[in-house]
Amino acid sequence: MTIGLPIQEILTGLSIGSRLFLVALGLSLIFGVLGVLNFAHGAFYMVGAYATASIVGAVGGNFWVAAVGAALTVGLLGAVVEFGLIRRIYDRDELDQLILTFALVLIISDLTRTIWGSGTQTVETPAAFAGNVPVLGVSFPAYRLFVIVVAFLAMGVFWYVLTRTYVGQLVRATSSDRDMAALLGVDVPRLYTGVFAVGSVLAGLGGALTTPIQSFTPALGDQVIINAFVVVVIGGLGSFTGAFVGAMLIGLFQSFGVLVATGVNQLLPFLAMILVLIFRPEGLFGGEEL
Amino acid sequence: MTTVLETESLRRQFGDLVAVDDVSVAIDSTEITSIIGPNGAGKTTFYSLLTGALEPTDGRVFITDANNERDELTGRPTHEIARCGLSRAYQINNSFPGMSVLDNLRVARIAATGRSKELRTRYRDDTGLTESAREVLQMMNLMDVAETTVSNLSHGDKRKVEIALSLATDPTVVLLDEPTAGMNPSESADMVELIKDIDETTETTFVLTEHDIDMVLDISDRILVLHQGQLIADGPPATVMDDEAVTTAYLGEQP
Amino acid sequence: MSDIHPLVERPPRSVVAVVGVLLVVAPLVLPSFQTYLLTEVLALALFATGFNLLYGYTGLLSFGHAMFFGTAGYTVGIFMRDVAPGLGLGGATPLVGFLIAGVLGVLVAVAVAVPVGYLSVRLEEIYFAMITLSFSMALYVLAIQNYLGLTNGSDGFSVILGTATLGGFDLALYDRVTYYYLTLLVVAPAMYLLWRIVRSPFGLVSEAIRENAERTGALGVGVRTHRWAAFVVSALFTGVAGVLIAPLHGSLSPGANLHWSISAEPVIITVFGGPYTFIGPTIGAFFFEYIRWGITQFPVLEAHWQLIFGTLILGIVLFAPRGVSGFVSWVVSRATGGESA
Repeated sequence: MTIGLPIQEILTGLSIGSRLFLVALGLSLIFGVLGVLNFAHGAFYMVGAYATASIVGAVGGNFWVAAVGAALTVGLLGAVVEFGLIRRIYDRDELDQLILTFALVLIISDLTRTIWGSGTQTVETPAAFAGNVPVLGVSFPAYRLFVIVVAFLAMGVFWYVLTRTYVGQLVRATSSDRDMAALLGVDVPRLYTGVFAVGSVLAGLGGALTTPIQSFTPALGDQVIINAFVVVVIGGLGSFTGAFVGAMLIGLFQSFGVLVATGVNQLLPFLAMILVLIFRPEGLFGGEEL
Repeated sequence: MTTVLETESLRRQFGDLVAVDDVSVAIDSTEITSIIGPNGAGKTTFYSLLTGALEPTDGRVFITDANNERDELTGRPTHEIARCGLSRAYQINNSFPGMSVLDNLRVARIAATGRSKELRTRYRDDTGLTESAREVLQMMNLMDVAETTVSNLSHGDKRKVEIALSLATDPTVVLLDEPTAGMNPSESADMVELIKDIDETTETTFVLTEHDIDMVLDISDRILVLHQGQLIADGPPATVMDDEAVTTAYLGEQP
Repeated sequence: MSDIHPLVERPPRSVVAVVGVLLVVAPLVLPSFQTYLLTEVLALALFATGFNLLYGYTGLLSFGHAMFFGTAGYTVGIFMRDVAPGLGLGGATPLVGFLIAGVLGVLVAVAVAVPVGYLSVRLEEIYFAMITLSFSMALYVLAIQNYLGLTNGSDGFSVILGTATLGGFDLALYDRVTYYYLTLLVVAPAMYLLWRIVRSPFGLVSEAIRENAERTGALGVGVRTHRWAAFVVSALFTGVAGVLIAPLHGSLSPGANLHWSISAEPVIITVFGGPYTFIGPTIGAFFFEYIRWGITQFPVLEAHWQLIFGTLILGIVLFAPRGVSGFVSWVVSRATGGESA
């Protein structure tokens, strides 16, 4: 351990946060544009992880193909779910939507267990990033560094797409006023499906990237969704800056919390969520459009 | 002139936009007062300031009840202001759609008598409560639909429920926001007669906003004109309708 | 909601009486395990009806009701384990000790609900669900971490009621039939109280808040205070259910008493049965319990209980959003040709 800034813990925290960020970004995007809080987002993350494990075997060990394939598979799953189910309940209570997506959690968890079994799965770290690299004076796993880079890249790409491109404009317009967007000629149902699919791809990608870092079981979905909720509530539902900051914050909590006492790392996220909901319910970056 | 509701330099700003600009009025309890003005004049904002739905940027609001006690309403929460005797009927129906008409009014009567925390009695079997609710139904000619769910009513009947709710709490002053909105001419005429009737038979003072100028001239003893947040005319119908400032506001500068 | 058929909204006395008689007679004819299930149904019915006072009647969806259920249960367990033996009640300990523990358990649930409710009712909809979830999960984590050394962490501990000796008369509280009657003696009056609350002015105003909180305030009701009161009352009855379940299951653990999956149970049950009638949650409890049991009879199904429940919930949300009781109301309306939405 180096004296001074605890670089190791910070990097670990950022690594945890980066994986959370991808899920949280998808969740926040879907809520911001469609107004639906997708309870099943953790399950999507989990499917991404399992799909990666399967595809890796099928393509002779190529992690990158597997990860992209898994992310796209989850994107397809999301599109199907949106088209077949979510679409029917847009005009319903937020609570009905929550219950429906909760039902999806049960169904997806069960199907995951059926297809892949309840055992623990692992995926090997891709050769390109095996081993450690020296970073800021400490020796840090190369792959985890890669994941952090991916998160920052994703943040950058999203910011660019949403603020500088036409598609991004359409998305932001539809999210702030659906009816107006429709009147202006935006194909709202198609946009919704597209956004839901993109959000699902993000979750799937998050799950895929997590596989070399941790072994997983069908309980992964439940673990992730609660953390994802915490992140988006703290950051602000619908804000992607918030998702980024929130995810990194939770990652750091988890990383540092272990040092204070066991269990503190699990408690801190909930306490933070409570504090945010009491003093700034719209979240740290809430009120901002995406 | 017995002042029942008054404002002192009431003002509401949203950033640079001044929605209500130093409005001072004194509503007389013996008159039916109408507030008119072109769209965006600030009528609904003014109402919201009175009922506490919005906080004033500046100025004060007072109500004087039947016992001649003057209460300041400025900055107080909505439910307290309601309990001081100021009630409102909304432009867009704002009632309890999943409940029957009678239950809607029971809620209002429970609120009016301060019984909302009561656990002991059964509201269905409480004859006093049901009777007082039915009285309001009778007043508004809603007896036929007492047990109908509000969401199943015709638009005209829904408007009547809306106004019934605002009257059911025995208010000192009731603010009606476009009471005939969306009604056909015959329904509107009925509503005007109803308002005049109730005004004569109860102590409640009526204030209304309206777009239908004919109706306003028919029903009002006094007219207030708002334009871009400011009070530009205040007086009996004949005087106000002659006022050049009023014509200009509605029609633009005359060549 | 007034477009529920009156027969379903206020079942006639004769129906209630028949059900009452059936409930009293049941354990005398049912096998022991079925009596156990029925006891659980009663406790779950109370759990869900207490929850629904807040959800169906006041419009607030709590994702954290496990915190009242679990803290009440844990209070009973801790009291019976650590305090009751030292009270000097002798042979009467299992019964009297349990009664005291039960009252304490409910008081603890209420004590949790007062501050949590105060902070939570300032929020609405999703945010209310999120904050109740966080409070509940914070308590879950504390229990797992064996905070104050009381809960024995994730393993939990057992709650066994023995035999109470009252003046020469033995009462085996662990006996399923005996415990069933004890549960019935608590649940029946509790449900009656909930019924009275729902039919009171307080209950009608709660419904008004669900329908239109803004207008209710404009009529002169302090909405936030009212929601807070409903929250605490809901927690109280949930606490009673938690007290009853602890000795029935014979054990306590964070996963079985405080986890968000336990908070989800009254939600699922209420969705099944229908949130807009008083008996909806009770009907849901019956369905939930017997479907759950039915599934365990077939290993093939048991492995897929999540799929089955998930599909059922999906079906109800999409096609029967008023739950079973809403569906029954629809059927009755059609059959009697009465007016219905």
